[in-house]
Amino acid sequence: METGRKWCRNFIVSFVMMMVILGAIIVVVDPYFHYHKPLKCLAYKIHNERYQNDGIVKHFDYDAIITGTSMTQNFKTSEMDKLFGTKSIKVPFAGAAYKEVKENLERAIVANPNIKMIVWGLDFNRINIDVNAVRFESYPTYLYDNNIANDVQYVFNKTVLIDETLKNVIDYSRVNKENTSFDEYSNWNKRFLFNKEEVLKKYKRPDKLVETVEDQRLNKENIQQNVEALIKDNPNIEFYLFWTPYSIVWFDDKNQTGGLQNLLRQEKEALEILLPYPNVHFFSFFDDTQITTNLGNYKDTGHYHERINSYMLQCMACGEHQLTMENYEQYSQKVWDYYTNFNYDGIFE
Amino acid sequence: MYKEKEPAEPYSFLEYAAYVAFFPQLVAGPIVTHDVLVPQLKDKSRKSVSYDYLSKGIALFTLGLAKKVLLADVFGNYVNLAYEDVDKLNSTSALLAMLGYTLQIYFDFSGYSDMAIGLAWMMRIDLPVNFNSPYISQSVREFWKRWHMTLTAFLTKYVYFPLGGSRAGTVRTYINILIVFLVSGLWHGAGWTFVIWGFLHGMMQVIERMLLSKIKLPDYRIIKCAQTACSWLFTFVFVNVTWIIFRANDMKQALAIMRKMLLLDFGNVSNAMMKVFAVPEFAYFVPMLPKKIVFPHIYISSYFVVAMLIILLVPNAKQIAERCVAWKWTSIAIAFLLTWCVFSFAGVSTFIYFNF
Repeated sequence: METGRKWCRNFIVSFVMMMVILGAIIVVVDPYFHYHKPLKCLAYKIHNERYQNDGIVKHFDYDAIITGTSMTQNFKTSEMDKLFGTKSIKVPFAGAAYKEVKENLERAIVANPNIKMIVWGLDFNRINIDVNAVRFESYPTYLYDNNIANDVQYVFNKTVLIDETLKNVIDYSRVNKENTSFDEYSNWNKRFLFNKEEVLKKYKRPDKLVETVEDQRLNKENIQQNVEALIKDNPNIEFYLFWTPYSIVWFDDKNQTGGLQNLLRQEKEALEILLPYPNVHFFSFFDDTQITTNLGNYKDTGHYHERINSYMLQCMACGEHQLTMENYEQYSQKVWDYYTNFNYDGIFE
Repeated sequence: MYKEKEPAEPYSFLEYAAYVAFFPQLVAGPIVTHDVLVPQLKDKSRKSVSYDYLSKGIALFTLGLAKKVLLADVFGNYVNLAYEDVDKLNSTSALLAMLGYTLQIYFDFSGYSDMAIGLAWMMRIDLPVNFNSPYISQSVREFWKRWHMTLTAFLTKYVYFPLGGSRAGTVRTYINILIVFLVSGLWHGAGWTFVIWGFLHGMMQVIERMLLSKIKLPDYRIIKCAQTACSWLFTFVFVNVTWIIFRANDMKQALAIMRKMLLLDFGNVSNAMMKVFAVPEFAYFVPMLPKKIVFPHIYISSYFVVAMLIILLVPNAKQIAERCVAWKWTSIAIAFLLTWCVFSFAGVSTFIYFNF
């Protein structure tokens, strides 16, 4: 009987010690910055958007944010800081709709009262999406909320312990002196080729729609709740918004499927909602057809080279391609005339 | 000889409720009849804590959990990938899908039974054993004496015996066996695959009874060895193939997998499927081993080889738990295993997006 009692006691002590020690390693190193900013004695690999972005906005030192989808992954915060005198972070969410990005910005604003500027790429193909649309079925919301109880999924997690803590921080620190820079974080520019051949081989041209398409107004909820509300609630933050400048081949798809005219009308409605705010600086590059028609700028129908990201930042700094209540109608007409009359067949000759 | 039993003594509502709601075996067995459980619930000597029971209960619970989380779930990930897109399989990956499911269902089901029995032990209650190394069976009849033993006992008592068992002549015995296994098939699920699976198991047992009694081999050791090996191999292959039918969405999918195996197109397993076995704890440490030991496909091979060794050679978890608590150091090993299991509950999702 005595053996049984000793066995149980040894088991409980060992089990508790192991759980506490291993959990403590995760809490102290904190690869997802859930409890604190990165430790100065270690170098952290920043690579996992849905797991690390929340920690970044809650614990890093910054006063400006670059955010959006994969369309913003190639931005360089070093360029932004040089142009605007900011200390910026980049938190992109590949594949996201507006809601997910907005919720992350809300958490950032709550955690950091020093934010003065946000650069936010609004994916042009998400203008009219459902207000609650998200890309994935589930997210690690235990990292986003303030509920300590569900942190067990973070602290007692084999993948976090081995892959994220041991490999991506401790081993990473042996080879690197600093955390992944925000210039490099999620940047995919070096991995792809940018030319017409690359774009066209990933594009399957749909058949031209013969029937007339009904007029469709903008579903305002998405823009209102996921973008306008944030702007309204934060008059002290300067929002630099832009439509992600997809290529002419993307416009061809819209033209073939009959959605182009509705989209351009919806764009105008969206601008009318956002432009009146004094803390909004809205930019569109669709009227810079030298960008959108040059397929050497693209790796597929939508994703552009990082030099376009750099160019957009420069325009934001000097006000070029900015839309205002005074000029947006002229812009809309120009874009309408150009894209509804473009010779799309010529792309494929 | 089947005997009429005494009628059960009346139970109070509390005793009945305790029996019905006895949580350790509520979800996934073992199937426990009232005469096994209620007397134990009433037994005053079981009401005080026994550290011997508690320790072996903790050990068995942990071993069961490890079978489920560290083995069954990993094989399950592989099997799910295979069954998601059968067209993409070659003979290698189809064969491994078949064997993988055989392993998955055993570790999953017997793991749950171990957890149930272990939990009950912690409460000083003895539940009946449910699995006894079923994959060493040398006949399908023996298989059902080692696999889901409480179900076999239940069906024998409540279906086979009331039908007459083996008392009404040979043909009637065969019919009764088929009926029992058709019922068993339906009990597992209301679908044709389950019925066909049950029928095949019943049919094979009928064939075994018909043939094996007639076959008499010379009594030489080498022939006995060959017979053992052949019986085991045949039974194992039969069980594997019928598990395909059990797992498949429909007969079309089951036959497609069997066809893939017979094509004899033994290429490599896809990278995505091999990656299932490169779990963090191995993927991190294996590259640190001397290069001579690290052979290609080490992760997938190790999993299958170790799993096969466990099912064929290693004693049952129940036996291990009962014996290991005699040594103090095993408390640390079990604590480590439980920690490993708990750390395996949560993972990190890979957010894959083809079109960002």
